Amino acid sequence: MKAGADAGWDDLASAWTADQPSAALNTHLGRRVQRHSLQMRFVTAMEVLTLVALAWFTAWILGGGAGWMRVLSLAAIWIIALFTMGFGLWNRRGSWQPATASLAGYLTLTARRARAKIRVARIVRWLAPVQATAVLLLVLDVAAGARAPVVEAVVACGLLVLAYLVWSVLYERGARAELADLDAIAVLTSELPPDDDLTM
Amino acid sequence: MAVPGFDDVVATMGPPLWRLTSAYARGHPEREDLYQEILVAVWKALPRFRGDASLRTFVFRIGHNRGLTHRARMAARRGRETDVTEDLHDPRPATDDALHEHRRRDRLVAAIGSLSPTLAQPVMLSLEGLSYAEIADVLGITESNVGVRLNRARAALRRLLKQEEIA
Repeated sequence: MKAGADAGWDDLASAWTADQPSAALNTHLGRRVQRHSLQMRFVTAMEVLTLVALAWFTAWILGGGAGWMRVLSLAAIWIIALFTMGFGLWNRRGSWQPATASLAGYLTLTARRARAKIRVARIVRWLAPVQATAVLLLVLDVAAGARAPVVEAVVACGLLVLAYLVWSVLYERGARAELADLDAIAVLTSELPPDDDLTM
Repeated sequence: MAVPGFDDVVATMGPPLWRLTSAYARGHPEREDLYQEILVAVWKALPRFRGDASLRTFVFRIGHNRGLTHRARMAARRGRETDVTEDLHDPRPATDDALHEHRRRDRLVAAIGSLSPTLAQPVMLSLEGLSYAEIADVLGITESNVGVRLNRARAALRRLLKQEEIA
């Protein structure tokens, strides 16, 4: 059945479809898509690079001798890194599908994604200091046998932890705003019963 | 099933998505921003398009979901929703047919934008030529519900446009 077929409606439809986006808008869109594409590639590249750097760092440290402190610190760093990766995969379960379901499905999926973001923010707040401590222990152990930039390492780790903490706070705030949006959507779409309760 | 190219999607679905933004965003810059936001979401979702629904349905669903999120976000930011029907009247004199058509279209867009999303959605999809079944598929409601919403929406739209003519 064609929706709303009558002469007046056809007039409105032709007036409606005359509204077209400008060509310049699609040029901007192309740039925006390209930017998103670059961002996604950058994130993937950074993840791979981090793993490679960690592997190289492990080999370098163990190459200088494998005392129990070094092995313990490295083990802690690897466990945290692998735990983070595992957590990332577990956390994204069920949120892979595109947000194209019905409105109810979309709301559920968006809420799931927002809650996953909140979990990420919280775990980062816990893990960043732990990971930094493990790295510092390693640096101190290396420094005990040779000259090492201990102060610089402490400052770098401190700054990194601080950056992660600030990021996690902002990230959680964004996710909570998304959850608040869902409440507003529920209000916006609540004027009519969800389905089938309507009579002509 | 072959995933359609993004450029093809923009070419075929860009204009309907642009019109769709009128119900969720106010003013040209905001509409432009939402239009791009929707198409970026489409671009991200496209690799997972399985062909369970038609491409048109798939894209419209994304458009309406994103539109609702945008409107909710902006409503929260503005503090409260204001009635945009006050913007319907265009004081410029109609000098020719083209201007008259332009004003008519602007009034229609503004009138649809002033409807609640539950009424504006089926109206827009209907004006795009979708059948009851397709509209029901996009919005995740039954065909009878589509009929009820459309009846109410058309009555509201007629009232709004008549008020505007009187003004």
